[in-house]
Amino acid sequence: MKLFNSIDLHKKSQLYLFAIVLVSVLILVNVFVSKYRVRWDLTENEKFSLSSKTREVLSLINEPIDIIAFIKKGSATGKQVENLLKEYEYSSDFINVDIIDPQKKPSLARKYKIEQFNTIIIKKGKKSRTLKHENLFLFGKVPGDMSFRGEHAISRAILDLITQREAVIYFLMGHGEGSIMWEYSEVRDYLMGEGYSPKKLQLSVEGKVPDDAGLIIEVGPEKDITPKEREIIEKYLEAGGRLLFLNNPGRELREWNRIFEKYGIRVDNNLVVDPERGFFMDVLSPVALTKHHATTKHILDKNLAVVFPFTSSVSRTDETPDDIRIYSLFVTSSSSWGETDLKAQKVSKDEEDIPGPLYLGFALEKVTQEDKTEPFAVVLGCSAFIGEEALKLEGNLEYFINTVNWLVSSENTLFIEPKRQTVSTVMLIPRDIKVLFLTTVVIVPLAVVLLGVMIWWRRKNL
Amino acid sequence: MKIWAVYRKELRSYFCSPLAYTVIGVYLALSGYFFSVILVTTKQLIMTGVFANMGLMLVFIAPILTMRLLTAEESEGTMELLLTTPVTVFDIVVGKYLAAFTVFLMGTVLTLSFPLFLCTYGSPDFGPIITGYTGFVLLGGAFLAIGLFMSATTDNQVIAGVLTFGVGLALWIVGWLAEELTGKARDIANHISAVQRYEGFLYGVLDLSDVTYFITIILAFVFLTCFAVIKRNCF
Repeated sequence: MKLFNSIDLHKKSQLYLFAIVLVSVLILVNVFVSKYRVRWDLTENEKFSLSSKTREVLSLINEPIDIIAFIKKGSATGKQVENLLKEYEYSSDFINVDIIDPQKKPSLARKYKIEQFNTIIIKKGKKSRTLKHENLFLFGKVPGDMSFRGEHAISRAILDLITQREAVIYFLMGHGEGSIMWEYSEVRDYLMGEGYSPKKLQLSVEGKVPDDAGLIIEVGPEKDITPKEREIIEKYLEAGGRLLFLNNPGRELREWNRIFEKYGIRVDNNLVVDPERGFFMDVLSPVALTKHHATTKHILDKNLAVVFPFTSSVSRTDETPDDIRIYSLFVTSSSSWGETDLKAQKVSKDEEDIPGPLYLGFALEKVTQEDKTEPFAVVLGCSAFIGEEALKLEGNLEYFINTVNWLVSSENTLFIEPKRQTVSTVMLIPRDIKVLFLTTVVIVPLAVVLLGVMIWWRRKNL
Repeated sequence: MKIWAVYRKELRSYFCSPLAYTVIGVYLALSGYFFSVILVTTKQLIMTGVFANMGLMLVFIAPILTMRLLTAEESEGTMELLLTTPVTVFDIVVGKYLAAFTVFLMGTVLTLSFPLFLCTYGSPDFGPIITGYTGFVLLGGAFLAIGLFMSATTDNQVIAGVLTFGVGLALWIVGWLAEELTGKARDIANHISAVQRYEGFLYGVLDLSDVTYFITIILAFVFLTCFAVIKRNCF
C-alpha cells in the first residue's frame, strides 16, 4: 500500500521500522532544539530577557550556584519570577534553579525560614543571599503599576557571591537606637536582600569605625553621642566615610550638630506640624513636597510620596565648605511650623516656633579632586518613617532603599534599571459590560449556530 | 492535488451538517464568557487567562471534531473503496487533518473580536496576544492530530473520542504532576506537559523548543495515523 506515491510499504516490518525511525528522529530534533535554546521575547519591554550587564555577570561564574525560589504556582508575580529565573538557568551552565511552592512543601519552606511568597535563596557553597518579594517588586501609586526589579536584585546577589564582596552597613548602637534585630528587623531584611550586610556598631566598645564600613547609619538616637564618639565619626567622614542620619525629635543633639555644622547643616530641636500636608489629616505626619535629587528620582518618577511621622526640621547654617554641595530633599508647606515646646499638651503656632516652609532633610555631596561629586551623607529629621508601621506607607521603603543605594554606590556598583510593567487597565461602565457580554457570549456564537441550522434545514428540504 | 480533493470533500461534510457550526458556536460562547468575565473582574487588557481557558477547552473540543474522521470511513466500509483510487494514504490522512484544522481555525478567527475589543478600551500589549494565538493554534493542531490518530485505531466514534479526550487530558495534567516530582522525573514530566509548553506563549515568549514540541506531536501523530490506516487495511 502506498504511503506516498514514491513509498510503498509491503511488509509489516517495513511499516514498524518506518514508524520507529520517524518517532526517533522527531525525539532527537526535540532534544537538540531544547539544548540550543532559541527564543523571542515579544513583550512590550522585553520583561523576560536578560540585560547585557547580567550576561557579563553570568560570564564571571565558574562554580555552581543554586537558586531556590519559593513562589505560589499560578500567581502572576510568581510566574514572572519563574520565567526570569529560567532565563538565568538557560544562560549559564553553572546555575541550577529549583522552583518550589511553599504550600506544597512546607518542610522545605520551614528549613529556609520562608515567610512570604516570591522569596529567593541564592546559594554558592556555604554562602547565600535571600531576596524577598519587596526586593523583587516595587509598587506604584496606581493599582497595576508595578516595577519588576528582579533582574537587578538577582544579578547583584550573584555578583556579590562570586566576587565575595560584601557592602557592610553599620547601624550605630548605644544611644537608645532601635535594634536592627527587633524594631528595624524589616529594614535589615530588605537591606540584606539588596546585597548588603547590616551589622551593629557600638563606637564606645570598638573605638573606631571598622575599615569595611560602606556606610554608617544612625537611626533615632535617644541620647547624643559622646565627644569621643564624635571625634571617631569626624575622622571616619574626613577619610571618605558615608553617613545616613535619621533623627528622633525631642532631644538636643549638640555633638551630632557639631559634626553637621562643619558641613553646613544642623538638625533642629523641634517637631514639625503641617496642617496643610498631613498624612490623612495627621498634622504631625507631613507628606512634604519632594525635591529633585538622585535619591528621590525613583519616587518622583512613580509619583510616590514619603510620609514622615513625627519629624524635626533640618536647616542650613550660614557657612558651607567649598567642597560640599547641599541639596534639599523635602519641604513642608508654608503653613507648617516647627513646634519648639515639645511638652505642650496641644500644638499651636506661637512666637518661639520656627515658621514654615521647613526642610525635612538634606543630601550632601562631596566635590572630588577631579571636580566631580560623590555621595557623602543624607540627614533627615525623621527616623519613624522606616519604623514597622510606616515603612510600607506610600514610597517610604523605596525612598529608604534608594537613599542607601545612592550612599553606598560607587562606579563599580551594578545597577539594572527596573522593568516597569504597567498593565493597561480599563474601568468598564455597565453599558460597556452589557455590549461586551452580548456580543461575545450571545450574538456571535448564536449567529454561527443559526447559520448551521439554516444550512441543515435547506439541505433537509432539498 | 489529491490532498485538496480529500480536503474539500471533508470540509464540505463538516459544514453540510450542523456539527461544525454547533461546535464553533458553543466554543465561541464559552470563550466569550471567559473573555468577558476575566476582563470585567481583572480590568486588565490582557488575554493570558482567556488563552489558558481556551486551551483547556480544546481538550473537549478536539475529540468532537476528530472522532468521526476515519472511524466513519472504516465503519461504513468506504475506506477500502478510497484506497482503490489513485489517492495515497498520506493524501487521505493529511486532507482530513487539514479539514478538521480549518474548522478549528475558523472558530479561532472569530475570537479575534476579543483583541479588537481590547483595542477599543485602550492599548494592550500585542506581543503576548500574538504569541498566545500562535500557541493556541499549535496546541489545537496537536490535539487534532491526536484525535485523528485515535480515529484511525477504532471503528467506534465514541471510543475514538474518549481516547482523544484521555490523551489530551493526560498531556494537560502531567504538568501538575511535575510539581510533585523531583529530579529527572520532573524534567521529563515538564518536557512532555502541554501546559508547560503552552504557558510560555501566554506570557509573550516564543520559544523554539515549545514550537518544535507541538510540531513534533502534529507530525508524529499524522504519520502514525498513516501507519495505522495501512496496518488496518493491508496486514
